[in-house]
This record gives sequence, structure tokens and C-alpha cells, in this order.
Amino acid sequence: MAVIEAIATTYLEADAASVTFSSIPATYEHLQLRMSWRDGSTGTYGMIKTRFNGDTGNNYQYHLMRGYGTTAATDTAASTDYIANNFVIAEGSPRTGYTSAIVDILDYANTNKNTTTQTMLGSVSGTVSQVVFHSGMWDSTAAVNTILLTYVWGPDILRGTEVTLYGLNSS
Amino acid sequence: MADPAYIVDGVLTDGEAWVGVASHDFTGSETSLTLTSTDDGQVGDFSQYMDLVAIAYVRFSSGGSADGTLICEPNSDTYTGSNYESQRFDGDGSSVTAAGWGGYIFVGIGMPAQTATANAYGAGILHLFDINSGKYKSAVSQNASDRDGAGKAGIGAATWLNQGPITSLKFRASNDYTFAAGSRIDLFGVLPRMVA
Repeated sequence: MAVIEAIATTYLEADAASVTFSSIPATYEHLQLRMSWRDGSTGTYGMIKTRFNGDTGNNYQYHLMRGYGTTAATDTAASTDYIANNFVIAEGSPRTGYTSAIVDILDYANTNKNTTTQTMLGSVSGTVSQVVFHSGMWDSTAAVNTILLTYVWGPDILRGTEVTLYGLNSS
Repeated sequence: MADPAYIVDGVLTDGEAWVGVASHDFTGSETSLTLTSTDDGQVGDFSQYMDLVAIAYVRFSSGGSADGTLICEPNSDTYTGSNYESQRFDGDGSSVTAAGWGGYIFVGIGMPAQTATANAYGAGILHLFDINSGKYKSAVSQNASDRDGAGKAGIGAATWLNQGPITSLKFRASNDYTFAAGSRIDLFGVLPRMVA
């Protein structure tokens, strides 16, 4: 068995409303998403909304710290209906670039633990560049079997966005 | 010529998603390292990978400084004033610093150099995304550079404002210090899911 296995890749050839990975096997130790993402909203930045197993309740929270130009900042939200991976490049950004991000989803199949995520995200686009480190938690002990990635403000995720889900084994 | 591991008896398979592409141990005399795609369909051929990951554990041995900055230049593209953008976020033990920069893809800042504590090396991990696409190429990095009472831990992001595929990676100190013996850089290719 491979130590790191590519479970599924989505490469958007047209703008789309969401990227979903479903029927995720419970056979790995951890999951990792690697993505190149551009949001279709008109602002400088968009936000990736992440939900597990179709749960739309207020069962998520997140923290982040970021460097933005010469500013260091932090943010948090509790009892929200999604984990946010914030400050992704959007259509109002100065450059036609894509955000790069790595999302680790730890011990996702363990039914005795809530699910914690960590994200490293870089959105470099001229004078509005950011590098962001996120944490997130889903207040559920269910094994993660579906991951939904979508936008917060919309109207879509842009063509050229690429996301691959990897499974990590211990041996 | 042998097939790459993901082709078995002529059939595409999904095996290890991370592939060791290259590994280099510095001798103590080099001021740069360029890792170039072999363009032969083998493991060293960058064109088959979605992402590249470089893991560096380095120290510099010239320049008379306690620290140096490790950078990466895709396709040996040197800074022209408008071909790179980046953002850093670093902590040095007493304060955090955020800074937007032009000019480099940073692998590690504050890496131990000539006058730093002996035998201290700094770690940097660089991820380059969608390297064969027609997009500007984006990267994130993290580094840990401890020098016994000084040093930095930080994260960074960068964009190379070029839409061509990445066919080589040049690593060097921003001020061309010499890599100390014992330094090493390992490069991995990250495959996408290839079989439905």
C-alpha cells in the first residue's frame, strides 16, 4: 500500500459551484487536500467554505493568523456552519493568479475525536498579498466521508481551479 | 529504458503519490544548485507532476554573517523587478513581522550562516503548485531556523509571474553565499489521481 495515495483529483475546465469528494474510504490515517484555487467573487478575496458529511449546522469553528503586507492579524469564529479557509484570490484581485493551499485533516476516521484541520494558504497578488495559517474544527466525532468545498460569496469557483485529495497511511 | 513506477506492464496505475525526484548533498564549495527536468518520462521528468515539493536543510559558510536567506528561482529566472511577488510572516522570538517583498520565492529566512552556532542547520519546505499549467506559478513555504538564542520561524507565499511550465529549479542564497558541507536539498514530485 502506498504511504501517500492520490484518492481523487478535480480540475475545473469550467466555472463551478463546488468541488465535492465523496465516499472517502476510512482506511487512511490522515487526509490532505492540495489545491490551486481562484474564487469568482468580485472582491479582492474570497473564502473557501468547507463542510463535512453534508453537515450544514453551526458545528464548526476556526482560527487564523496572517501576514498581509506589513500587517500581522488574527481572526476566529465559533459556532459557524462551515470551516473557513479565508483570503483566497478572487476576481477583484490585481493579478490573474491562483491561491495555493494545503489542508490537513487529521485522524479523520476516528469516531472518538472531533475532526481538526490545519491549512497553509498563500495568496500573492500584488499589493494585497497574504500568507495565512488556519485551524479548523468540526464538532462531530463522525468519520469524515464527504468533503464539500465551495465559496462564501460566489457566484462560482473559477476554471483552472485544481484540487487533489490525498490519503496518508502510516506504513 | 524503464517505465516509471505508475506504469505497470503498460497500464497506468496509482501508486505512491509522492515520488523522489532528486537529492543533493552539498560538498562545501557550491553557491547554487539547479535541479533540471530530465524530460525523458522517468521520475526526473517534471512534466508528469502536479506539484513539486523541495525539502531543504542547509547552512551557509561564507559572507561573514550569522544568517542567510535561501531562495528558489524556477527556470533560473532572476529578478527583473516585475517577475516575482511574495509575502512573508515570521517570528524571531520577540516579535512577529509581516512583509511583502518582490524578487524571490523564499524557501527559508534566517538560515544559519558562517558565524552562527556550529553545526546548526535551518529547515525549509517549499511547495510549488500546478507546475505545468498556464497559470502564474504559486508557492507556499515554511521554515525553521534556530541558531541558539537567535533565529526565525516563518511561513511564506510567492508567485512567479510566468505562465510557462517549470522545467528547472535553482536554489541559492540571496547574496550568493556558499552552501556549507552537510547541507542537503531533496526534491519530490506530487502526482494527481490518474486512474478513475
